[in-house]
Amino acid sequence: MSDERAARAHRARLALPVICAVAIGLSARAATAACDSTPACLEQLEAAQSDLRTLNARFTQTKHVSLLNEPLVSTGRFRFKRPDKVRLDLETPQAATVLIDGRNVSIPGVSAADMQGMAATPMAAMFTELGALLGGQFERAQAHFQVEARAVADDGVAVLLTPTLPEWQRLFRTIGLTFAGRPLVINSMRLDDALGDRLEIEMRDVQRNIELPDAIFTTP
Amino acid sequence: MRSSRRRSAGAVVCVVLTVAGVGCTRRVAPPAGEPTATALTAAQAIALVEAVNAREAGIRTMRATFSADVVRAGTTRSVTGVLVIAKPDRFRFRLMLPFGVTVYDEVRDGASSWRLTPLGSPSQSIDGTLLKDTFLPSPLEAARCEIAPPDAGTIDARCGDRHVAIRVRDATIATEWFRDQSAARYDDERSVDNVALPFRIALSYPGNVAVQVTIDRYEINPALDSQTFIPPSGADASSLD
Repeated sequence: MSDERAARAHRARLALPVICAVAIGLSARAATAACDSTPACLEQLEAAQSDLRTLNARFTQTKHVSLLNEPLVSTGRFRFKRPDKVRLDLETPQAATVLIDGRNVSIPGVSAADMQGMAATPMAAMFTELGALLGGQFERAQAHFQVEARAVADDGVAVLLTPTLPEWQRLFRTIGLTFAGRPLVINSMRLDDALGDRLEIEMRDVQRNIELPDAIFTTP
Repeated sequence: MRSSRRRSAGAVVCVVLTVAGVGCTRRVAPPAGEPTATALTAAQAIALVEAVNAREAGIRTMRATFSADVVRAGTTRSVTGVLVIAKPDRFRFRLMLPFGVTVYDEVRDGASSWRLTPLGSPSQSIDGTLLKDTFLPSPLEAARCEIAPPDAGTIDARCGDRHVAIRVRDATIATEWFRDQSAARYDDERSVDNVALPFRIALSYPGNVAVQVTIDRYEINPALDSQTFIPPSGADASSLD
């Protein structure tokens, strides 16, 4: 009897690490190997963003204008706070700040009166939607975009958004987002507009969940 | 040869500036007789005007990138832009917000015009006729010019609806008006490929509108893509006649 008990205890001791290993393996597969279809990739992204509260990153923005042989390059800082607050600080070559707080969009060079009118325009809605996407809310995006997602190199995920509303198509033909790293975070954006111009934004030094006060997302 | 290039570039600059709604500083060769502020004959003044035309004629195509602050009714709007010109009467003008979104695109080809405002923002509308006059000025008709005597080192030439103040001493255009209440003033002149070009232009328009333009880059007589003046899909067409 005691021998049998000892054997069971031994088997249990052996089984525990095996169970843990299997569990870890299943978890890892669920996190990294599931992006084989658009729904699966989006599910993976949503899972990765589930605990996302804030993002802070440096960025380089490259505007390819069809009228120019060389692109226009600017750099700055990007900040995001869940659910839909975004702050873009362009630092070079010209300082400018763009604020998005839900449906409120503040853009340098646009008057307050125009801004009020703009709150009801496709651009404000689209920017709000993009802010939500950064928080992993892809289900919401499917109301206004055709969404395609696929796996890319280094366990990354690429999402291509094609506006379905004519008013939104006047702004952009497609919007591409690339997520990379573990956990997956926004890595780059590409916006192709209706004039054939292309805006590419590359993120770097991305930080997750650092403290970002609400005040920095509001107009002074 | 260097002098010729400099003059040509100067003319290009003028085109660029005018395209940007800015105007330009044109280097003009002093006419024969080395005029001075105190001894400028009518013939010499007309020769200066013709020199301006000669410089402009040397510009076939032009491309410029710039940023601009537009002040209207106490509100300042900032844009970056690209201007492309092909003489005699085609230009394309695209404005973007500082973070890259295009807000205005206009194509002109002769008397036809196409405009696209992706944001649909009414404040992005621009007086295309004013742009055309600013960017593609017609040559000064010297025979129709009323030229005032030199004053403080400049001659004042009124040629139809163009009004040009030409500095006599260094043979540059000091200030240019396209209409009575519109003016362009040049500043921050720098050498680009051995050509002195103004990198800041202050414009004032009727309706208390002021525009400060900062030129980022000039290209003179660049080869232009055949698609450059093709109207964008969805643009609103209009006739200027």
